[in-house]
Amino acid sequence: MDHGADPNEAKRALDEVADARASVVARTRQPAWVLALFSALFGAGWAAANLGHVGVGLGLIAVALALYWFVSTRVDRRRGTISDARALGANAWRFMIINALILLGSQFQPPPAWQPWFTITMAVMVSVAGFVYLRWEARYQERRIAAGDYDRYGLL
Amino acid sequence: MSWQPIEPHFDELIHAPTRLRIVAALATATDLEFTALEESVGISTSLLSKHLKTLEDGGYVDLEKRPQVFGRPRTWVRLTPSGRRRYLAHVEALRQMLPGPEDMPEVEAPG
Repeated sequence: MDHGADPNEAKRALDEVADARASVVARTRQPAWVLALFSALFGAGWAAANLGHVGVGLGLIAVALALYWFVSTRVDRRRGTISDARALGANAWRFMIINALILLGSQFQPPPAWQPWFTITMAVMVSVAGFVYLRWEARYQERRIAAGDYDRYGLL
Repeated sequence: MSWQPIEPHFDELIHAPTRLRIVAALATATDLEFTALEESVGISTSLLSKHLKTLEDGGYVDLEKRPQVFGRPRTWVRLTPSGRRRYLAHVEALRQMLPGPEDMPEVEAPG
């Protein structure tokens, strides 16, 4: 059946589709400062908990989560995350790697003379690890969305 | 929820270049904010509104104005399930129009 579109026109149309996808991803990327703020607060909460102030630590983490939610609802311009088996599996690997590093750091009991600088250093590393994890996940999502690499039920 | 594969089907309404860009942009998300869509497609507010009206009348998209805790309400646009299915069917139809390897001219080996 002739729809008035030849192969060249079909190719141009598909190029437009790919360009539109890439354009959306580029323009709706979550700002890095949102993730950095969340990671920093999370690291501070971890440090407080490790120094014996568990309540303060949990409070800081709760503030981090609340701030992240609030800022995201104001800043986010695109909703939808690829949540198919492949994405969940990839995320699980990233989560395990980053958390293994954080856990290993938590197991080490430094001499008292090293405190509080040891915990502060570890908190910075936890913050950086958290930031890396979140950016890694964001980049994974962006790459697959820009490529159209998901089916109609994989986007939630 | 139907798990049937998408059957290719050429869609005249969304084949128009601007509307195809709009629908392709919307297909990257469950919801896309109006200004983000406007910037991504690269057209004016009035022209986008006009195309969205056409798509909404055709059952491809839904628009929703959502209040915010602070600030003005924001308009969000999303593809309907039917709109997403018709878009994917159109993309599949376009892919089938591309020449296959058997249609490519043979290239003689040098020498």
